[in-house]
Amino acid sequence: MSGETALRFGCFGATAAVHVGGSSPTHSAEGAAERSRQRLLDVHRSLSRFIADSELSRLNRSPLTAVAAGPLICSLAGAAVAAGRRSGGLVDATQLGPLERAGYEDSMETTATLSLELALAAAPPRRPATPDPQARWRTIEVDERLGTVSRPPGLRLDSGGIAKGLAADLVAASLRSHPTFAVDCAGDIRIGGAAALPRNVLVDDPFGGEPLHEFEVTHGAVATSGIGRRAWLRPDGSPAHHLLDPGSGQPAFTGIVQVTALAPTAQLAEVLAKTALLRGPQEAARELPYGGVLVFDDRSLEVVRGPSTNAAITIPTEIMRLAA
Amino acid sequence: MPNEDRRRLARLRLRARRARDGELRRRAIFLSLSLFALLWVAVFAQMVSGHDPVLSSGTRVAAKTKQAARHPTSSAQAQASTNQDELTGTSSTATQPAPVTPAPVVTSQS
Repeated sequence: MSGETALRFGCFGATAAVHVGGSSPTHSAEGAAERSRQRLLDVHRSLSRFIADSELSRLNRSPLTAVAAGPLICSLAGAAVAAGRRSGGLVDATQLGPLERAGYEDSMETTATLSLELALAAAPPRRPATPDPQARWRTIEVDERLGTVSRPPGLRLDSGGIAKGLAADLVAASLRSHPTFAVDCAGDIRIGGAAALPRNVLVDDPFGGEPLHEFEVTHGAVATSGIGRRAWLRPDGSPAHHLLDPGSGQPAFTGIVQVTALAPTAQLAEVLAKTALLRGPQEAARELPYGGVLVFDDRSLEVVRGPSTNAAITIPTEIMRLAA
Repeated sequence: MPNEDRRRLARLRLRARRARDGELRRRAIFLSLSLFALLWVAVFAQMVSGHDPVLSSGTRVAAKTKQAARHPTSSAQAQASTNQDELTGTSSTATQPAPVTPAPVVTSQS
């Protein structure tokens, strides 16, 4: 037993968790955990595209070019632009139309999902994703002083993983004076604490086995992105999932099924994980400057080292399991 | 036996007893001192050789604690842990002891 206060709850269409260890000068661990839970739920209510009266839905519906927006929406829009820039257009938050056409129109919490094995068996030939030549994310402008977000009317934003990373970083900032904390926004995890104690982070197996790898993080973030959890079969019988190739507007099958990225912030970790997955096996490791784990279609695993060495090692999944 | 002879014999016996008592006392003192010196030399030798039993048992406890606080790591994990230098580079120095051990967390796609 760690002695931390831990809360787990439904949020961001999945399960989120907050771990707080020890009191800060002003708050108890229990109080801070509960406030963090409320804050994450507030962020979800504001940034979910599945909630009709959320701030994001109002922005997406607005016929105006410049829309009055609160700090959270301004942060989301700014993060969307930063993600597009950082990923060379691969992480494109303006792909909501193609995503809905692919079948991701609701939160899918009650939709029957397709197993990863079946999705891979029925998937088209693997190829790296490409950016959308229109790069509509470049048209988004944020004026934090005026509190407005500008974009062409009709351009809609998908909060996706960006919101989870944003929320984890936001809540982590309020917990930094506690000895230990971890904010887990459904896979995007921010870790820290004044005591600077290392925390073990286990990487889940997308094929349902034992955890594949273990990191030790003291201050930083981990994010995992993949095509396994939200996969479904389209009416034409083709498999689909929520990570689109912006160039084609179709679900991306690049040869990688899951990427876990380490980074100083959860927002950056989320963008790095998605970018690496969309780049495909040949270039994915280069997109993980702080290290991470790649899981390929054939279930093999690649652990990417951080900045101290640029070399990567490939270990078959079975061997990793034996070593564990 | 004449009385004078009896007295002389008594004095001789008394002298012999005193001599025997003195000898026993000296032997006891010598044995005690020898035993003390022997034990002291043994302890001194143990300390000088760096095998203080108290210190060595303390080290063992510390090592166990450290092992308990850390999961066993594979070579890949050791490589990955080098990444943490970058992540922790901007971290603040610990200002207070933590009464808790951070619980492990699992990162998975969502």
